[in-house]
Amino acid sequence: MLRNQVYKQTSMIARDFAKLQISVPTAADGEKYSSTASGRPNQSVTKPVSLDSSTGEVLVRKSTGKTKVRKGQTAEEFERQCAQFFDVERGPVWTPVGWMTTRDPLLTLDTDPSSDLKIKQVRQKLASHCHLLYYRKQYADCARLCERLLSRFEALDNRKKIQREIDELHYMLERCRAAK
Amino acid sequence: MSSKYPQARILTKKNDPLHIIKTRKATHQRAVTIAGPMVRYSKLPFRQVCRHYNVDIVYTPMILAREYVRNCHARMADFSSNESDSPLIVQVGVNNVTDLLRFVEMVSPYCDGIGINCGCPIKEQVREGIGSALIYNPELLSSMVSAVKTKYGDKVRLETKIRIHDNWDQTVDLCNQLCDAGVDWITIHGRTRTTRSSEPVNLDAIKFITQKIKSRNVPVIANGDCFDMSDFQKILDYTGADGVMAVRGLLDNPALFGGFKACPWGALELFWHYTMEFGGLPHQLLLHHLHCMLGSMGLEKSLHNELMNIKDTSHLIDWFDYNFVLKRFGEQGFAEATDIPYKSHSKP
Repeated sequence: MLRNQVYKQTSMIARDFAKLQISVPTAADGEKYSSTASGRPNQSVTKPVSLDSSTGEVLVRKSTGKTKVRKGQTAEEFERQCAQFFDVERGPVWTPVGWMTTRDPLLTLDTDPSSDLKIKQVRQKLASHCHLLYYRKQYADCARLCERLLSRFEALDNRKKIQREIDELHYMLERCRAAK
Repeated sequence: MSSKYPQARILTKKNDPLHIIKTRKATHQRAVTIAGPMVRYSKLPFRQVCRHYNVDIVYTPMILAREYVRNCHARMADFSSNESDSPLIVQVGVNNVTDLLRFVEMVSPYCDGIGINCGCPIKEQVREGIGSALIYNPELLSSMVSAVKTKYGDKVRLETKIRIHDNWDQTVDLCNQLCDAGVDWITIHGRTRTTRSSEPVNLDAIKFITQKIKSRNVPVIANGDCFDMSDFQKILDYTGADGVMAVRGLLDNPALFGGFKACPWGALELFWHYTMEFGGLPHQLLLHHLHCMLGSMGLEKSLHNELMNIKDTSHLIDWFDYNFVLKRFGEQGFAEATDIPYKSHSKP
C-alpha cells in the first residue's frame, strides 16, 4: 500500500517534470571529444534521465524536442508479470518440430478464453495449421480444417476486413478437393 | 532472483558462448562464427537454418525490455524458441538498469546469453536512449553491465554490440569501461551511428580498438560486410578479432559459413520446412527471406518478378511446386541440392 502511494507520488512528480520542460541531456552535451564533423553532432541522441530507479521510470525526449515520461513498473506489477509468464505462459512460445499436429487447433480456440477469432494473430495461427497441411500435401486433412475454419471465419461480423483470409481458405479448399 | 521461478539456464562447454568463442580455434581450427541480430528477420525458422551451416552462436532480433517485462502480447510476438535453438543470445533494447535486470530474470532460463544492443541507429530508438545512443552514454551502459554481472556473475553471459565513434579513442574508452564493468565479450560494428550500410565497413577502426584493448582479455567480435568465407578470413586477419559476426550476408545466404558462395537450394528447402513446422511467418516476411535467398542464387528475373507479386502463403507454395522441385522433409535428397532445380517448363 505504502509502496503504491510512493509510486503514485513519484508518477505525479514525473508528470510535473514533463510539464516543466526540463531538458534531457544529449550526447552533444559535455562532449569531451572533438569531432571532425561540423556543427554539434549527436544532438538527437538522448541520455534518459532516471526518475525512479526502483521502477525504471525515465524521462526521454520526443521527436518534437519535448520531454516524455516513460512510466515505471512497480515491484508488485513485475511480480504479477512473472507469475503470468512463468506459471501461465510457461515461458516463451515453445515450438518444437511437430508441435502443430499434437492438438486440434480448434480445440484450443474453444477452451482458451484468450483465443478470440476477432484477433488477427489468432486467425493467422489457425491458418498456419492449414498452410502446414497444404505444404505437407496432406490434402484431405487440409480440406477438413479449411471447411471448419471457413464456417467460423464467415460467421464473424467484420467479414469484409478478413475477406482476403477467407479467400485464401477457399483457394486451399478447392485445390485440396481437386488433388484428393 | 526469486527461487520459485526457473533460474538462468546452466552453461556448459556445449552452450556457453564465451567458452565457444575462446575455444573454437582449438576445437574447430577456425574462429567462432556468429549470426547477428536482424530486425524482424532473425526469427526461429531462420535461426535454425543458419545452424545447419557452421554457425556457432545465433542472435534473436532486438527485443525491447520495457515491453517484454510489462506486456504478454509483446512476449508472444517477440520471442519463440525450442530445445534445439541453442547456443542462443537474446538481444535486448534497453535504457535503464531496472528494466534490464527484470528482462534478464525472465529470459535467462531460455537462452545462453544476453546482448545489449548499442548499435541500432533507428531514430525512434535513439531518442529513447536505446541502441546506438548507448555508446554516447558510457556511464549508463557500464552501470547496466555491472548490475547484471554483479547479480549473476558467470551464470549469465552478457555481451554488448557497439558501433564506432567518429573519434576511435572514444570507442576505446567505452570498451575499457565495459571491461571494467565485467562484460563477457564485445562485438564491434565498424560503422558510426550515421554511416550508411552502403559504405564499406571500417576495418581499420576495428583493428585499432581491438589492439588497444588486447590486454583486457575480453574477446572482440568483428561485424560488418562479411558476405563469404574469404571476407571472413580477411576480416580476421586484418583486425585481429576473435571471431566474425555476419548479418546481412546471412540473410542472402544462410550457408555462408558453410563455405557456399551463394545460397544452396537445400537451405531454402530447410527454411520452408522450419517455417511451416514452427507455425509460419507473416507472408511479407516469408516472401522477403525467399526473395533474398533466390536473389543470391541468381533466379531468372521474370520468375523473380512473379515471386514478388504473390499475395499469400498457399499461392507461394503452389508457385514453388509449379516451377521447382521443392522437396519435403523425409523425401530422398531433401536439403541436399545446391543449384535451383527448375522444372522443365520453367528453365531459363
